[in-house]
Amino acid sequence: MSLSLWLGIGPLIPLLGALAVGFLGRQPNLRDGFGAFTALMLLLWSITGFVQFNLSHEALLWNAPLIFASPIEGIPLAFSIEPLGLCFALLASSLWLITHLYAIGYMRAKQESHQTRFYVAFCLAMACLMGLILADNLLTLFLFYELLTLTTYPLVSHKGDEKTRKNARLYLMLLMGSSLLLLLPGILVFWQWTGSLNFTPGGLLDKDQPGVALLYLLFVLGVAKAAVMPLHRWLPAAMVAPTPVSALLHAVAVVKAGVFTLLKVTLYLFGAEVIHAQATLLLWLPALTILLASFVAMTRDNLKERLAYSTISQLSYIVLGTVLANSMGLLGGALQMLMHGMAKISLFFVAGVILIASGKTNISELTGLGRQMPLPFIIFTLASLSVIGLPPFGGLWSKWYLALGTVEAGQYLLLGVLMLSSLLNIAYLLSVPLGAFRPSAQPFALKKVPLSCQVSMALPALACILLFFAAEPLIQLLRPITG
Amino acid sequence: MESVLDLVLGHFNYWAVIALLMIGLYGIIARQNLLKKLACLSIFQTGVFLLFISWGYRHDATVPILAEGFSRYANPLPQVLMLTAIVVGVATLAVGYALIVRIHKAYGSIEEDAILEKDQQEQE
Amino acid sequence: MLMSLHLAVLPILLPMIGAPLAALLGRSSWAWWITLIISIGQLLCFVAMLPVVLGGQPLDYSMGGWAIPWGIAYRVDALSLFMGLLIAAIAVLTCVYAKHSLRTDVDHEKLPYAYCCMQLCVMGLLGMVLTADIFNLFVFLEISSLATYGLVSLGKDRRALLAAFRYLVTGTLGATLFLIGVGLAYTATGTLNLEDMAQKFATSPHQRTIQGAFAFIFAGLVLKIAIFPLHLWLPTVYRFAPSAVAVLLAATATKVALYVLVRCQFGLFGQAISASHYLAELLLVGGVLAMLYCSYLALKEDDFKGLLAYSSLAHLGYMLGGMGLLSAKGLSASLMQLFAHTLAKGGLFMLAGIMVLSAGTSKISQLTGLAGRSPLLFLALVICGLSLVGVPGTVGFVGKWQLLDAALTQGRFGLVLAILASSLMALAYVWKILETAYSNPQSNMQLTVKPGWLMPLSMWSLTLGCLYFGFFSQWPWQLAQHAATVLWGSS
Repeated sequence: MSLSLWLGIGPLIPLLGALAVGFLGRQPNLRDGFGAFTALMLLLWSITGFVQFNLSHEALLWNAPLIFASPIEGIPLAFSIEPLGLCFALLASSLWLITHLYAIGYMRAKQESHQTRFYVAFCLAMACLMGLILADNLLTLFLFYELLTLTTYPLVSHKGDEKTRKNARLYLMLLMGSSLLLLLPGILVFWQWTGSLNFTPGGLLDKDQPGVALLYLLFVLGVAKAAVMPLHRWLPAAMVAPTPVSALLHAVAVVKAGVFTLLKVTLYLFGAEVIHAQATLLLWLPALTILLASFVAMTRDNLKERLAYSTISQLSYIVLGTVLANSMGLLGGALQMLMHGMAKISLFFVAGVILIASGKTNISELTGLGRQMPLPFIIFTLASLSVIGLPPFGGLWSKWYLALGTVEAGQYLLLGVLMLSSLLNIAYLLSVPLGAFRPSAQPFALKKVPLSCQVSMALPALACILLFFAAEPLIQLLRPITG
Repeated sequence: MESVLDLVLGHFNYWAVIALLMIGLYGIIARQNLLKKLACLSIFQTGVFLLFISWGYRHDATVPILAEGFSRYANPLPQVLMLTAIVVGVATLAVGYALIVRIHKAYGSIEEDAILEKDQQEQE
Repeated sequence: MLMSLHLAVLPILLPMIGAPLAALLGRSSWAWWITLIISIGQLLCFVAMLPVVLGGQPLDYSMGGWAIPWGIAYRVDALSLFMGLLIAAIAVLTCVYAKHSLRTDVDHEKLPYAYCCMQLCVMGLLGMVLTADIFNLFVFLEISSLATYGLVSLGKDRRALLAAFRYLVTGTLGATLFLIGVGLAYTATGTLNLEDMAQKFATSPHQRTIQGAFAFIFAGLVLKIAIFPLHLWLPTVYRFAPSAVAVLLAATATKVALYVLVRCQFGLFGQAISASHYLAELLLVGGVLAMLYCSYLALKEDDFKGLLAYSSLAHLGYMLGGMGLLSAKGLSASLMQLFAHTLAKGGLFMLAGIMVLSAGTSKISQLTGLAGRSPLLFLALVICGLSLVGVPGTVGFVGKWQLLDAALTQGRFGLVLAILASSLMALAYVWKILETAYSNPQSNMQLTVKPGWLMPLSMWSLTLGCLYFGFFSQWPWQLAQHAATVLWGSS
């Protein structure tokens, strides 16, 4: 398959899937089956790319972008692929398949309304995500970044009651407002400085360009999808969405799209060296977010909300690695993107299974539930251990390289922050299964959990273990770009 | 003293123009009666016609037709322009009056505040 | 060959035949066909002139064969062509739209006159764009305005009458002020031809007269364009005029007045005025105030058409801001913004008309459940609305990008901030509509009347235009740049 064909097909698969799912709305079985087929095709697509383009990774594929439009003179809309995007695409598409299986069980068990709209929007969001991953320049990325916000809006506001609408409005206004008010001028200033927005290995900026830190600040805050405080409020608000949405989009796709944007901007526009030299002060933004979000997470009793704050905290690890911008930090950040996605989606699936089975959303109400249904809580424990960063789980590698990055940069205080945060992780994550396994006076009245939910809940957690042993190919893959 | 006199009397036509313009403008803003508003608009326009004609006027000059004994000719163009402008003005007035007639039919009044009051009542 | 010689004047002549025919034949269907044919003819004229003008040479035409500084001249340069194409295209679409829309908004026996007025209005607008004679321009201004007053007064609601009357008073006042300016300019130069005048301005000893002339012309046009704070007439006119008329006005009328201002400020007065930085500051401050204040008003407005009207005022602020940058880049960005806004706002007003027709209301709070009832209509609303906000992938983004780029290049950070803040407010008010339309699919909003297929057709043409030019903006942008450099070269 030729590169440009491959590039073109990527976003088209979920787009066509959305159309088909929309037309099949009256036959739920066929519709859901076709949705799964679409997800499978996307997974095959990303594996094809992985095999075909990346194992011959010597020649980076920059020089053959697929140009499909030119809204502004000198800045075409174009697709290309690089290792980081390939990893992300593989992660997102494999998790999509799992999530789709989970969603079929979840949506039917909960008898949610408007399922067709839900699946159509889901497919569209994935199409936007693929566009974002493949973007060859910042404008293309920006386009899909905004579209991703728009297509996820119907998913967040799915329930349609007053509270949901309010939260969905906050979600949209914060994400879009910050991108229009901070990211857009950032892009413009960058365009003014360099006259190009094309992602280029090594970056485009001069080493002694003044004002880099300030401009970079615009990006760090403007990409609110990365949920760096103080622009993180949308993520807890988005938790009103059905659990599959929270799991895939708001633990993996959307938030990782944010940090992915930051990573790409750092690596291919600003240049890691420039950021490493000039943006040291900005390190404290993610560092504070890591700690504060962990503390907030401890105070939350709603399980999904606690997981959301945990996500905010974990995302800032990636941002921290990005802003550190030395090779270890970047590698750690990129790995964290994958490892955390794997583990966090499992945690959300468990939260959804608990909701289906017992109807409970608060942690304090779960006492004793673990004795009645141990499997979800065992999986929760495994995934938590990976998030915390203990062996034998994949999460270890990302934490390891991030810690190495702080040491390499001589930021021992930040190393302390990472360590402290790991302790906090233990406190707020492991307290959930610990509580659940305590004996309780009254047994719970449990509903049956669909098999598809149980299976898809376990898969990513097992993948975390696998990733501990099989991280080497990934690291080999990402090494060349992180320097 | 002489210069002040010259300023006042020597430009009396301009003073008249200014007076007309100001009367018109004041009326447009201050009058509630739509008919009077329109009349004032007309006065305002008339001021401008006079202004153009004043510009076109030259002392001791005649129409630009070559004839024995005349050496100073006035430029006819401003007057011609004003002919057009008057036609435009008449058309505007006609449309305006037609509108007032319809407003009267619809509201039974041509006082602006009364009309607005009726609209407000209708909304409540 | 003969036709190509007269191309420049044909767009004016055609409606002179068509308008009386439409009125006299007395059958509304004939009147519609005549109007449609005439407006398509006008569009074709402009398309035919495209290659000539883009070749670099403006197309000159002297009316009645009188030599140019003496007789009335017509001149088609890149700027006129840009505006002319836009107006003629919108006129065709409005005409297509009007068939259904006017029939429900206007009494049957008045329909032929409505079409007659529509042709005259478009004729006046195109005349202003084509003519190179400043007094002629005044006459066309009045022709289009008079036709507009008539059209607005055809609105069903009786409040349309008062709106039309106020528009008449304000519009005539503005045009008369413009006329004073024309007179002053004439006394300083002794010519009415725009190009001739521009040349004589440079050497004229009466610089103060010239500045006075510009002041009057500026004041008059500000009234016609409805620049904040002289905008009060506009929202009621847009609200109560028949839907098709509102489309025509929103998409073209104020834009043409803006064109006249651009033409006068850059092409005519050029150096005599542009050297004064007060003007730049005035435009910038006025633009910024309009953006912020009118966006705020739009946020508070509960009527769909009223909201669109305030949003139009805010977008005029963007265009003024671009003009106030006093550079070729800023001017072309302004023109691009004008183009983008015409598409988006035209589409939205058409949509509002369909809403009013089929749901019987234009209150935003009663749009609930639109998305469920009519997903396609909702999709169009999303696209046009996002173009208004300036989300990438729409033509609104291209306009906003160019404007921001120009402002940044010149270090006008205040303008940049104002544009961003105003975009944010635009997002808020567009989202207010979208959210209402999206929410409560259970509620039973009644779509009683079917809008037929002509109304959606023209609305979708503009909506898809918003998308298409959001991805492929070469030709409007090149034309805008061409136009700006032509004007810049002449000043």
